[in-house]
Amino acid sequence: MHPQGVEIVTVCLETLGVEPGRPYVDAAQPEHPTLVDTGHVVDELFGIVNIPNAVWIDEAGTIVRPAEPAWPAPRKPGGGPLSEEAPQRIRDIMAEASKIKAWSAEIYADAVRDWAANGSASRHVLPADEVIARSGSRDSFTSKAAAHFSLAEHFERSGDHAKAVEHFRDAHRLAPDNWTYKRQAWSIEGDLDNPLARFWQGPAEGRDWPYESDWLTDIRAKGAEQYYRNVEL
Amino acid sequence: MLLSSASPTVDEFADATGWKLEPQGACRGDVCVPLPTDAVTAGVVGLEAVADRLGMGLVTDPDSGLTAVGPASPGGRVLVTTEAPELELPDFDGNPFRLNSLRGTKVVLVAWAPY
Repeated sequence: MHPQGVEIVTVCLETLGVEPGRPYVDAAQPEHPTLVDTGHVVDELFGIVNIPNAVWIDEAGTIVRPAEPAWPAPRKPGGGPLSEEAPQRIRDIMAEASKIKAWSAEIYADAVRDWAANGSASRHVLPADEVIARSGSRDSFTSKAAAHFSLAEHFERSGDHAKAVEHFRDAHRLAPDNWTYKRQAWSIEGDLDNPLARFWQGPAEGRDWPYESDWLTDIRAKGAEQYYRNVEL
Repeated sequence: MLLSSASPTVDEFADATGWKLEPQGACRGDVCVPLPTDAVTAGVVGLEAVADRLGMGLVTDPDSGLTAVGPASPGGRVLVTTEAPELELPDFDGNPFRLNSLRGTKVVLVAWAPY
Protein backbone atom coordinates (compact mmCIF):
# COMPACT_ATOMS: atom_id res chain seq x y z
CA MET A 1 0.00 0.00 0.00
CA HIS A 2 3.00 2.29 0.35
CA PRO A 3 2.97 3.50 -3.28
CA GLN A 4 -0.70 4.42 -2.82
CA GLY A 5 0.13 6.62 0.17
CA VAL A 6 -0.83 4.26 2.97
CA GLU A 7 1.74 3.06 5.49
CA ILE A 8 1.04 -0.14 7.36
CA VAL A 9 2.45 -0.16 10.89
CA THR A 10 2.21 -3.44 12.77
CA VAL A 11 2.38 -3.68 16.54
CA CYS A 12 3.04 -6.97 18.29
CA LEU A 13 1.31 -7.05 21.67
CA GLU A 14 3.57 -9.22 23.78
CA THR A 15 4.42 -8.92 27.46
CA LEU A 16 7.30 -11.38 27.07
CA GLY A 17 9.25 -9.08 24.74
CA VAL A 18 10.55 -9.32 21.21
CA GLU A 19 11.49 -12.96 20.80
CA PRO A 20 8.07 -14.66 20.65
CA GLY A 21 7.07 -12.52 17.68
CA ARG A 22 10.38 -12.65 15.87
CA PRO A 23 9.82 -15.89 13.93
CA TYR A 24 6.65 -14.43 12.42
CA VAL A 25 8.40 -11.20 11.47
CA ASP A 26 11.39 -13.06 10.05
CA ALA A 27 9.04 -15.19 7.95
CA ALA A 28 7.04 -12.22 6.68
CA GLN A 29 10.04 -9.96 5.95
CA PRO A 30 7.87 -6.84 6.18
CA GLU A 31 8.95 -3.59 4.56
CA HIS A 32 6.76 -1.48 6.84
CA PRO A 33 7.47 -0.41 10.45
CA THR A 34 7.17 -3.45 12.70
CA LEU A 35 6.87 -2.53 16.37
CA VAL A 36 6.70 -4.35 19.68
CA ASP A 37 4.44 -3.27 22.52
CA THR A 38 5.46 -5.08 25.69
CA GLY A 39 3.24 -2.87 27.83
CA HIS A 40 0.04 -3.19 25.81
CA VAL A 41 0.07 0.59 25.50
CA VAL A 42 -1.78 0.37 22.20
CA ASP A 43 -4.61 -1.49 23.90
CA GLU A 44 -5.15 1.38 26.29
CA LEU A 45 -4.72 4.18 23.77
CA PHE A 46 -6.99 2.74 21.11
CA GLY A 47 -9.21 0.30 23.00
CA ILE A 48 -7.99 -2.90 21.40
CA VAL A 49 -9.57 -5.93 23.11
CA ASN A 50 -8.77 -8.66 20.60
CA ILE A 51 -6.36 -9.20 17.74
CA PRO A 52 -6.02 -8.70 14.85
CA ASN A 53 -7.36 -5.16 15.06
CA ALA A 54 -6.55 -2.01 13.12
CA VAL A 55 -6.95 1.75 13.40
CA TRP A 56 -6.94 4.18 10.50
CA ILE A 57 -5.17 7.52 10.98
CA ASP A 58 -5.19 10.13 8.25
CA GLU A 59 -2.45 12.49 7.06
CA ALA A 60 -3.32 15.09 9.71
CA GLY A 61 -3.09 12.59 12.56
CA THR A 62 -6.84 12.20 12.90
CA ILE A 63 -8.34 8.81 13.65
CA VAL A 64 -10.89 8.10 10.92
CA ARG A 65 -11.69 4.54 11.91
CA PRO A 66 -11.25 3.31 15.49
CA ALA A 67 -9.96 -0.09 16.54
CA GLU A 68 -11.87 -2.90 14.85
CA PRO A 69 -11.18 -6.41 13.58
CA ALA A 70 -9.01 -6.17 10.47
CA TRP A 71 -7.82 -8.65 7.89
CA PRO A 72 -5.21 -8.53 5.13
CA ALA A 73 -7.25 -10.92 2.98
CA PRO A 74 -10.28 -13.17 3.15
CA ARG A 75 -9.83 -15.65 5.96
CA LYS A 76 -8.99 -19.11 4.69
CA PRO A 77 -10.36 -22.26 6.26
CA GLY A 78 -8.00 -24.08 8.62
CA GLY A 79 -5.20 -26.17 7.23
CA GLY A 80 -7.20 -29.35 6.99
CA PRO A 81 -7.77 -32.10 9.52
CA LEU A 82 -5.22 -32.47 12.29
CA SER A 83 -3.23 -35.64 12.64
CA GLU A 84 -4.45 -38.37 14.93
CA GLU A 85 -1.54 -37.58 17.23
CA ALA A 86 -2.68 -34.02 17.88
CA PRO A 87 -3.77 -33.55 21.51
CA GLN A 88 -7.53 -33.54 21.95
CA ARG A 89 -7.49 -30.00 23.34
CA ILE A 90 -5.76 -28.70 20.20
CA ARG A 91 -8.27 -30.56 18.06
CA ASP A 92 -11.10 -28.95 20.06
CA ILE A 93 -9.51 -25.52 19.76
CA MET A 94 -9.18 -25.88 16.00
CA ALA A 95 -12.79 -27.01 15.76
CA GLU A 96 -13.96 -23.88 17.58
CA ALA A 97 -11.53 -21.67 15.64
CA SER A 98 -13.03 -22.92 12.39
CA LYS A 99 -16.38 -21.45 13.48
CA ILE A 100 -14.98 -17.99 14.17
CA LYS A 101 -16.53 -15.45 11.84
CA ALA A 102 -14.17 -12.85 10.42
CA TRP A 103 -17.02 -10.49 9.61
CA SER A 104 -15.32 -7.99 7.33
CA ALA A 105 -12.50 -10.11 5.95
CA GLU A 106 -13.93 -10.35 2.43
CA ILE A 107 -13.96 -6.60 1.92
CA TYR A 108 -11.50 -5.15 4.43
CA ALA A 109 -8.52 -4.85 2.08
CA ASP A 110 -10.74 -3.27 -0.58
CA ALA A 111 -11.87 -0.72 1.99
CA VAL A 112 -8.27 0.25 2.68
CA ARG A 113 -7.64 0.59 -1.07
CA ASP A 114 -10.71 2.77 -1.39
CA TRP A 115 -9.40 5.03 1.38
CA ALA A 116 -6.01 5.18 -0.35
CA ALA A 117 -7.65 6.25 -3.60
CA ASN A 118 -10.30 8.64 -2.28
CA GLY A 119 -8.95 9.95 1.00
CA SER A 120 -11.46 11.81 3.12
CA ALA A 121 -14.10 11.26 0.42
CA SER A 122 -13.94 7.50 0.95
CA ARG A 123 -17.21 6.11 2.23
CA HIS A 124 -15.19 4.20 4.82
CA VAL A 125 -13.98 7.38 6.54
CA LEU A 126 -16.14 8.01 9.57
CA PRO A 127 -17.16 11.38 11.02
CA ALA A 128 -15.56 12.28 14.35
CA ASP A 129 -18.60 11.55 16.48
CA GLU A 130 -18.95 8.15 14.88
CA VAL A 131 -15.26 7.37 15.46
CA ILE A 132 -15.66 8.15 19.16
CA ALA A 133 -18.96 6.31 19.43
CA ARG A 134 -17.50 3.19 17.80
CA SER A 135 -14.29 3.29 19.86
CA GLY A 136 -15.81 1.05 22.51
CA SER A 137 -17.09 1.66 25.99
CA ARG A 138 -14.80 2.43 28.86
CA ASP A 139 -15.80 2.78 32.48
CA SER A 140 -14.16 2.65 35.87
CA PHE A 141 -14.18 -1.15 35.80
CA THR A 142 -12.38 -1.52 32.48
CA SER A 143 -9.99 1.27 33.46
CA LYS A 144 -9.20 -0.49 36.71
CA ALA A 145 -8.70 -3.70 34.75
CA ALA A 146 -6.05 -1.90 32.71
CA ALA A 147 -4.30 -0.81 35.91
CA HIS A 148 -4.25 -4.40 37.16
CA PHE A 149 -2.98 -5.57 33.78
CA SER A 150 -0.09 -3.09 33.97
CA LEU A 151 0.86 -4.39 37.40
CA ALA A 152 0.58 -7.98 36.16
CA GLU A 153 2.95 -7.26 33.28
CA HIS A 154 5.40 -5.59 35.63
CA PHE A 155 5.46 -8.60 37.95
CA GLU A 156 5.68 -11.06 35.06
CA ARG A 157 8.71 -9.29 33.66
CA SER A 158 10.20 -9.07 37.15
CA GLY A 159 9.97 -12.83 37.55
CA ASP A 160 7.16 -12.87 40.10
CA HIS A 161 4.72 -15.00 38.13
CA ALA A 162 2.43 -15.76 41.09
CA LYS A 163 1.96 -12.08 41.74
CA ALA A 164 1.38 -11.45 38.05
CA VAL A 165 -1.37 -14.07 38.02
CA GLU A 166 -3.14 -12.28 40.90
CA HIS A 167 -3.34 -9.09 38.86
CA PHE A 168 -4.15 -10.86 35.59
CA ARG A 169 -7.09 -12.50 37.37
CA ASP A 170 -8.31 -9.12 38.59
CA ALA A 171 -8.02 -7.71 35.07
CA HIS A 172 -10.05 -10.61 33.69
CA ARG A 173 -12.73 -10.21 36.37
CA LEU A 174 -13.12 -6.50 35.69
CA ALA A 175 -12.97 -6.71 31.88
CA PRO A 176 -14.45 -10.11 31.01
CA ASP A 177 -14.87 -9.24 27.33
CA ASN A 178 -11.22 -8.32 26.82
CA TRP A 179 -9.76 -11.27 24.91
CA THR A 180 -6.34 -9.66 24.69
CA TYR A 181 -5.94 -9.58 28.46
CA LYS A 182 -7.01 -13.20 28.66
CA ARG A 183 -5.05 -14.55 25.71
CA GLN A 184 -1.88 -12.84 26.89
CA ALA A 185 -2.16 -14.24 30.41
CA TRP A 186 -3.33 -17.71 29.42
CA SER A 187 -0.60 -18.03 26.79
CA ILE A 188 2.23 -17.74 29.29
CA GLU A 189 1.18 -20.64 31.48
CA GLY A 190 2.98 -23.94 31.16
CA ASP A 191 6.07 -25.03 29.28
CA LEU A 192 6.82 -22.21 26.88
CA ASP A 193 9.34 -24.36 25.02
CA ASN A 194 6.48 -26.51 23.81
CA PRO A 195 5.45 -25.13 20.40
CA LEU A 196 1.78 -25.62 21.29
CA ALA A 197 2.03 -23.91 24.68
CA ARG A 198 1.15 -20.39 23.54
CA PHE A 199 -2.05 -21.63 21.95
CA TRP A 200 -3.01 -24.24 24.55
CA GLN A 201 -4.39 -21.57 26.89
CA GLY A 202 -6.05 -23.87 29.37
CA PRO A 203 -5.73 -26.66 31.90
CA ALA A 204 -3.37 -29.56 31.27
CA GLU A 205 -2.83 -32.82 33.08
CA GLY A 206 -0.33 -32.58 35.91
CA ARG A 207 -0.37 -28.81 36.06
CA ASP A 208 -2.41 -26.34 38.10
CA TRP A 209 -4.48 -23.86 36.12
CA PRO A 210 -4.70 -20.58 38.03
CA TYR A 211 -7.53 -18.91 36.12
CA GLU A 212 -11.30 -19.04 36.36
CA SER A 213 -11.68 -19.86 32.69
CA ASP A 214 -9.67 -20.67 29.59
CA TRP A 215 -9.86 -20.08 25.83
CA LEU A 216 -11.91 -23.13 24.97
CA THR A 217 -14.40 -22.68 27.80
CA ASP A 218 -14.83 -18.99 27.07
CA ILE A 219 -15.34 -19.28 23.35
CA ARG A 220 -17.85 -22.08 23.80
CA ALA A 221 -19.74 -19.97 26.31
CA LYS A 222 -19.67 -16.83 24.17
CA GLY A 223 -20.10 -18.51 20.82
CA ALA A 224 -17.38 -18.57 18.19
CA GLU A 225 -19.36 -16.28 15.86
CA GLN A 226 -19.19 -13.57 18.53
CA TYR A 227 -15.42 -13.82 18.98
CA TYR A 228 -14.97 -10.81 16.72
CA ARG A 229 -17.62 -8.14 16.68
CA ASN A 230 -19.42 -7.43 13.46
CA VAL A 231 -18.11 -4.21 11.97
CA GLU A 232 -19.96 -2.17 9.42
CA LEU A 233 -17.49 -0.98 6.85
CA MET B 1 0.21 2.33 33.25
CA LEU B 2 2.62 2.16 36.17
CA LEU B 3 3.40 5.36 38.01
CA SER B 4 6.82 6.12 39.35
CA SER B 5 5.25 7.23 42.60
CA ALA B 6 1.92 7.25 44.40
CA SER B 7 2.41 11.02 44.61
CA PRO B 8 3.53 11.90 41.08
CA THR B 9 4.46 15.35 39.97
CA VAL B 10 2.40 17.05 37.32
CA ASP B 11 5.04 16.22 34.72
CA GLU B 12 5.29 12.59 35.78
CA PHE B 13 1.52 12.27 35.59
CA ALA B 14 1.46 13.81 32.13
CA ASP B 15 4.25 11.55 30.90
CA ALA B 16 2.47 8.44 32.19
CA THR B 17 -1.09 9.25 31.19
CA GLY B 18 -1.00 11.88 28.44
CA TRP B 19 -3.20 14.18 30.55
CA LYS B 20 -1.73 17.59 31.32
CA LEU B 21 -2.92 19.28 34.48
CA GLU B 22 -3.56 22.88 33.51
CA PRO B 23 -5.25 25.73 35.40
CA GLN B 24 -8.50 24.94 33.57
CA GLY B 25 -8.36 21.23 34.44
CA ALA B 26 -6.93 17.99 33.11
CA CYS B 27 -6.48 18.40 29.37
CA ARG B 28 -5.77 16.11 26.45
CA GLY B 29 -6.08 17.42 22.92
CA ASP B 30 -9.02 19.78 22.88
CA VAL B 31 -10.72 18.08 25.83
CA CYS B 32 -10.40 19.53 29.34
CA VAL B 33 -11.98 18.05 32.46
CA PRO B 34 -12.37 20.45 35.41
CA LEU B 35 -10.60 19.38 38.59
CA PRO B 36 -11.16 20.23 42.26
CA THR B 37 -9.04 23.10 43.52
CA ASP B 38 -6.90 20.82 45.65
CA ALA B 39 -6.10 18.42 42.80
CA VAL B 40 -2.51 19.67 42.65
CA THR B 41 -0.51 20.86 45.64
CA ALA B 42 2.97 22.30 45.15
CA GLY B 43 3.29 20.49 41.84
CA VAL B 44 2.26 17.12 43.29
CA VAL B 45 -0.86 15.42 41.98
CA GLY B 46 -3.60 14.37 44.39
CA LEU B 47 -3.91 11.05 42.68
CA GLU B 48 -7.19 9.81 44.11
CA ALA B 49 -9.03 13.04 43.37
CA VAL B 50 -7.67 13.34 39.83
CA ALA B 51 -8.16 9.67 38.99
CA ASP B 52 -11.71 9.82 40.30
CA ARG B 53 -12.57 12.88 38.22
CA LEU B 54 -11.05 11.38 35.07
CA GLY B 55 -12.64 7.96 35.61
CA MET B 56 -9.22 6.34 35.89
CA GLY B 57 -8.98 3.05 37.72
CA LEU B 58 -6.38 3.37 40.47
CA VAL B 59 -4.72 0.28 41.91
CA THR B 60 -1.95 0.00 44.48
CA ASP B 61 -0.44 -3.42 44.97
CA PRO B 62 -0.59 -3.98 48.72
CA ASP B 63 2.68 -5.90 48.99
CA SER B 64 4.98 -3.88 46.78
CA GLY B 65 3.31 -0.48 47.11
CA LEU B 66 3.45 -0.10 43.33
CA THR B 67 0.69 2.07 41.88
CA ALA B 68 -0.91 1.89 38.46
CA VAL B 69 -3.68 3.84 36.83
CA GLY B 70 -5.88 2.82 33.95
CA PRO B 71 -6.87 5.07 31.07
CA ALA B 72 -9.29 7.94 31.55
CA SER B 73 -12.95 7.43 30.76
CA PRO B 74 -14.56 10.84 31.09
CA GLY B 75 -17.00 10.32 28.23
CA GLY B 76 -17.63 6.63 28.74
CA ARG B 77 -15.87 5.82 25.46
CA VAL B 78 -12.29 4.74 24.75
CA LEU B 79 -11.57 7.81 22.64
CA VAL B 80 -12.25 11.29 23.95
CA THR B 81 -10.89 12.90 20.79
CA THR B 82 -10.09 11.75 17.27
CA GLU B 83 -6.61 13.25 17.52
CA ALA B 84 -4.25 10.27 17.39
CA PRO B 85 -2.33 9.99 20.64
CA GLU B 86 1.42 10.19 20.92
CA LEU B 87 2.89 6.72 20.57
CA GLU B 88 6.51 5.67 20.67
CA LEU B 89 7.46 2.01 20.57
CA PRO B 90 10.60 0.09 19.58
CA ASP B 91 10.82 -1.92 16.42
CA PHE B 92 12.12 -5.49 16.39
CA ASP B 93 15.70 -4.20 16.26
CA GLY B 94 15.18 -2.00 19.29
CA ASN B 95 15.05 1.29 17.40
CA PRO B 96 12.47 3.75 18.73
CA PHE B 97 9.68 4.67 16.33
CA ARG B 98 7.27 7.54 16.77
CA LEU B 99 3.87 7.24 15.18
CA ASN B 100 3.67 10.97 14.53
CA SER B 101 6.76 10.68 12.29
CA LEU B 102 4.24 9.49 9.67
CA ARG B 103 2.25 12.73 9.64
CA GLY B 104 1.36 13.48 6.04
CA THR B 105 0.76 9.81 5.31
CA LYS B 106 -2.29 7.65 5.84
CA VAL B 107 -1.57 4.99 8.45
CA VAL B 108 -3.19 1.65 9.15
CA LEU B 109 -2.02 0.63 12.61
CA VAL B 110 -2.42 -3.12 12.95
CA ALA B 111 -2.24 -4.92 16.29
CA TRP B 112 -1.36 -8.63 16.33
CA ALA B 113 0.10 -11.16 18.74
CA PRO B 114 1.93 -14.51 18.59
CA TYR B 115 -0.60 -16.30 20.79
